[in-house]
Amino acid sequence: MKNSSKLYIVLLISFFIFIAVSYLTGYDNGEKTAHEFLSIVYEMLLILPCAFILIGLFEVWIKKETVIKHLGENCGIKGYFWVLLLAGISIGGLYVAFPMAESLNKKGASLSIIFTYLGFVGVFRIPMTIFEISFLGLPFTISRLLVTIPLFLLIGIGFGTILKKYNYQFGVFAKK
Amino acid sequence: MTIFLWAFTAGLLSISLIKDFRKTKQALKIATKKFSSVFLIFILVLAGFALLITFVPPELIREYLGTESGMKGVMVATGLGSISVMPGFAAFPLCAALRMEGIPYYIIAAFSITLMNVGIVTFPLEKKFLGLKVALLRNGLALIVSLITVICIKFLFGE
Repeated sequence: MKNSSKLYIVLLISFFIFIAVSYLTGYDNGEKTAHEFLSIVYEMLLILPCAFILIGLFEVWIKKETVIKHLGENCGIKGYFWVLLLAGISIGGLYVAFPMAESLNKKGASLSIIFTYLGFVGVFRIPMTIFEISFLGLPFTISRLLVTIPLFLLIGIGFGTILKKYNYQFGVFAKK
Repeated sequence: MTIFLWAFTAGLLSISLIKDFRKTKQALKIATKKFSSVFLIFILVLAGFALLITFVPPELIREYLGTESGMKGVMVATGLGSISVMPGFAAFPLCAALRMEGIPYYIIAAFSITLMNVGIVTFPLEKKFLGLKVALLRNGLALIVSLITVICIKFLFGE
């Protein structure tokens, strides 16, 4: 992590040196880059604080433990609602989703629930969705969700039903 | 759009403040911490974008991702989304910047949805958990979901 931020800083410094030199030598494209950069940073800074405040509020008011409590053996149809919520409060990408799916498996959640979770977690993480709405607008996000959520639900249930027939075992330890 | 966002945020923040002062303070702390942790990469992405806009001819971007690009644009965006690993915190500002350049929503959808759901770089990890066949199948299906969504978005927004 430290190394990557060092790299970022080096890259940023080179960028600013490029801009400074462009201004000193009157290099047109450099000045144009600076203008594009400033106008886009300005646009983003109008949005960014809201997005982060919303994410902060969300993390404080909704607790993961309460949601996981509702998932497990025999959670039935309601399980799909809870798994949507669980995907919503997940943070991080697939690296976090797979270990989470593994622990759902240990708790006795069905394969359908687990695969639905893996689908939902890519499209309905709430912090990410807040970010998306802030930058791309509510109509875009809503239409995207209306299409992807039912599809991933179907895929999850389908995966679960078919794999169960093949006696599929989920998780690292089940694989050779 | 931005005004609504601010009004909405201010509204929720006040409700939270009335209900529980300490929790609200903690929420703001989380917000600042997250903000500072992504700030560098965020500025860097925008710098890269400014360079891209200046040095890559607009015709070229329009040809490969613009309104006229059609199927080709969807393929390019899908390919880019599938191979890149980028935190959403960097990806959505990039998408918004592309949007300001007139790139249609359905192309942006192709990129952002595959970015989140199809993972070539994360595939080895996925294989470990799911096994080769199921991991391949999951990624393939996610690709199809992305394409269906792209088509819907294209019709919904009439671009």
